Amino acid sequence: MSPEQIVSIVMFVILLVIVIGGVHLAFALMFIGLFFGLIFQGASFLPIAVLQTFDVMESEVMIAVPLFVFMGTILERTGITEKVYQNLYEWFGPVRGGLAIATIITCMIFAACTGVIAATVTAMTLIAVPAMLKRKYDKGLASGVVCAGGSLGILIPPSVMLVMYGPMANLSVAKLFAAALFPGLLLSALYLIYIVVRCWLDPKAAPAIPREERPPYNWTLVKKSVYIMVPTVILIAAVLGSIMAGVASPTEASGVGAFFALLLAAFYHELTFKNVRAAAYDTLIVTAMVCFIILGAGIFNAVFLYLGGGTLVANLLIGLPFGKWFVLFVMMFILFIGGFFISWQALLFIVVPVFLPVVTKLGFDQLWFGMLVCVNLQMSFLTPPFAYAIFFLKGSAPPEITTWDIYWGVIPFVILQAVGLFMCVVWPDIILWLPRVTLGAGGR
Amino acid sequence: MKWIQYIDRISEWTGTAAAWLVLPLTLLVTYEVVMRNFFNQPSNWGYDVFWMLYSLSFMIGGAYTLLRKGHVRIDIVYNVMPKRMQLIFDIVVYAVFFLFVTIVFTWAGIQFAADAWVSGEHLSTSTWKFPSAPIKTVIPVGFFLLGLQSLAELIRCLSNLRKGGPKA
Repeated sequence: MSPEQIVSIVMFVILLVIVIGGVHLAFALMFIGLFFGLIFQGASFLPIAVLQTFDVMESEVMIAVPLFVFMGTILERTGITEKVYQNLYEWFGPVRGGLAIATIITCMIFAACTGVIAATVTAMTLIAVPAMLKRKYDKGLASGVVCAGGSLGILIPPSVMLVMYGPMANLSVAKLFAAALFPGLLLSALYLIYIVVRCWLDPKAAPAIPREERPPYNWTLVKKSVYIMVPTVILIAAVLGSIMAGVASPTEASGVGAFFALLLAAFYHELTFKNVRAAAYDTLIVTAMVCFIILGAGIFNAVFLYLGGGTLVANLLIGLPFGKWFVLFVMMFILFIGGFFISWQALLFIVVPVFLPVVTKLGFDQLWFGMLVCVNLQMSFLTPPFAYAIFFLKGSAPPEITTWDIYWGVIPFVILQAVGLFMCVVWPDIILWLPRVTLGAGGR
Repeated sequence: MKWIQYIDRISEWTGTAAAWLVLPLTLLVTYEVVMRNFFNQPSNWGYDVFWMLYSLSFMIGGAYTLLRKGHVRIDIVYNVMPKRMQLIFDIVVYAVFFLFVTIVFTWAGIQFAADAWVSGEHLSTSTWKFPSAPIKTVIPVGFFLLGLQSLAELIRCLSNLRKGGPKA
């Protein structure tokens, strides 16, 4: 181990300590990167750092980040989430666990419209949680469903996580989108199966709406469903379909998608100055947050790799006993444990870059591994103390839901996510089949 | 504390301008897609204009994002600190981390942009040649605004600490 490699490890440890301590992620990355870069490369590091910045600015695929976020925030402002949920509520209410099922399906639909989770979890907490509590659903089940369902937003494409993952791992974002579809649907299916089985075993956890209060199944309901569902579904199909068929780049699809979201808002009479302005502000904050982290990660990794930290960790991991599947297990376990304490952005940009060369050396498929990471990071949204989905839920949940209700409630869903991850490892075609048939073999 | 208010106002204004850029970006990307696919007339300026709008937006919007506390931090340790400790911690974060990063980047960015202005460098990804200096100037400007807002946050924490109150 060379002295530079020891420094690189020190650098990594300092970064982890200050990030967990509470320094803003983007600025911790930039600070440590600049500090060690200036020490070891002198003033010649400054142009390198500025060029990293310019690289992020010039990135073609990153243009899709503000556009996908804008599409999602516009849709959110139109109140469409509530309409869709109300509609599904009427369809599924008479079934045991029906409101939980309606919640998961609403979340799936909006996961395919947005690339982040904050909006979906907050909206569902305000809409679905009170409805479920009113029907005497188990509090843990109600919170678990919203947290797990809402987190799908960042797995099911379009997803900001995938747009960030692509350039970092040198993979095509379109392929990542195609690869993410089935794992996303698999997790949703597992959630739905769990709800049905749980309610069958324990009817008190999620009672059906009593017969006399049920809304009637009739033509009005069907017509309402068409009015609410069809425009949204067309939007999703057009945006995702064009990317996965290779007709449009993610950037083009995101721009057209955002434009259609504006049209949809006009269709529902919600295209007001106030709504567009609020959506634009939300979009700016998410975009700037994401871009500054990417910028910081680029600078940090430039120094970390220059000092040879990457090879050191790679050699350590490859040197592990019991073969390559054990190495994969260790990497996934590190991400799982990390998910309790640090955010997905930190895991993605501090930990994952160290793994990538190992993956290549062991002969694993990069696209497949990238998807395993994204499925794995789903757990990080639900595992306290640092869990975004729980933060957003707690931020707007009614006071009778305690923190412990939420913690107990998410456990089954974390287990389901682990099961989903395991299935993706055992049957790699869950991930690789769709991108192979639509966009051809290979990761780029 | 007029100072802080002025800086906050600057970040509000630049943030508003940066936020609205997403609208022309949306419309231009849509226009380009329609022209290319339905009229077979792709532009030679499309991609370059898109990335300039996007990067102008997030670079200038960094300061506004700081004002709105939009930069991600992990607050599990921070939240269990006593209020006074939190203020001291924030002072260290802004004085050491934010100011160091923004000052270094502003300075390095000025040199980067100055080179482009002096040499009159033109860039191109297609047949459309554009001067690179204006967009390169965005780097020092963005980091300068971010540094200014960091300074405002720092002063805000200091004055709260002196008053002994935890009020924001």
